[in-house]
Amino acid sequence: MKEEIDDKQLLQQFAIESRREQVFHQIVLKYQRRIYWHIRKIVIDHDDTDDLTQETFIKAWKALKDFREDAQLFTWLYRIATNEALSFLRKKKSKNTISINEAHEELILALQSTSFFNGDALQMKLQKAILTLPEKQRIVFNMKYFDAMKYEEMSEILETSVGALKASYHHAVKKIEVFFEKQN
Amino acid sequence: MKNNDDTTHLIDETLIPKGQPFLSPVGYFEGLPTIIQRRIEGKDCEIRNTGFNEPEKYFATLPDRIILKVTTEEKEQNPVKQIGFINWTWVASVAATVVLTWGIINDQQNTLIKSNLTKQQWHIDNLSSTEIASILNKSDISEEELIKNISITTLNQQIEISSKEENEIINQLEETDITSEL
Repeated sequence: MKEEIDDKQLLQQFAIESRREQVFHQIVLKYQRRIYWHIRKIVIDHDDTDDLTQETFIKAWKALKDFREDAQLFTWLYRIATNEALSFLRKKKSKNTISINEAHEELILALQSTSFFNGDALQMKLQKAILTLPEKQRIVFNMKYFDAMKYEEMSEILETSVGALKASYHHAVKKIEVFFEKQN
Repeated sequence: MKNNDDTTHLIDETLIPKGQPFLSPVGYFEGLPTIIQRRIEGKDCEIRNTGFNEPEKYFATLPDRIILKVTTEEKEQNPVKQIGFINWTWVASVAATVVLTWGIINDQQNTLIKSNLTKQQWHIDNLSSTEIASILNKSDISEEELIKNISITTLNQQIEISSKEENEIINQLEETDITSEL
């Protein structure tokens, strides 16, 4: 098993100008999948996810030398990724002047038409159920259910209290259950 | 003394390993090492599969694409930023001075032209007809004659056309007379 380099070591080495590119390459390698999948679950489409993933890391590159380490590197990256994804959805809504329901319909269409989905019918149904949730609740559900993230970690990333996150997740699960019942 | 709340005799002890009060899901321990391994390696952070997949070799090329973008952006730095705020202030001051100077000079010239025109106009207004006539030079006179000549030529041409038409009419009439006689 390849030994993962400590984030602290990475940040220390990033401070050395001559090593910056190499270190950043390692940071991207380390976190690219987690960032990509986090965004992908929010925006659904692969191409949009690709753009937003790159944007996340580009922003990280620009801000990394001023990173104060008051949060974990991963938490910080995740926060940037979440904000990028949410901004993207908001811009899309306002650009097309569509309602929240229409925005959800668009995401469902993207889900049904994407060639990068190899799940079964049940997984498709679950994704559709998740898309009926409000954006932030969707993120909470994804982070808890798919990423098995701790509430404390989620609280740092989303800057929301643990209690609120627990309540949000509970409501999300209930809504998904109702969706499945209606479908059946 | 026997405890009346003791219900352990109701549970099949073969199902529960000794010392473990809880049950685990079927197949849990078989899958656990893989899940933990995946999480440690960061290869697949999804404990549960969403059903989504990514294009082939996507993650293999992503780091290089990102590095290329960030390094290219740095090299093609914004020229405005490169020059710097203080330098831009200096440039703006010089430009403003040049424009102002040009404006002042331009304004002075305009004033000079205006005053000259005014003088000329005054001078003209105060000339007698004899003086005006003497000012008109030969080219002005010959231009007048030219205009006169053109008018005469045009008039002659018109007379010629009219007489042609008249002749044609006369001829037509003569023909008509001949045919009627016949």
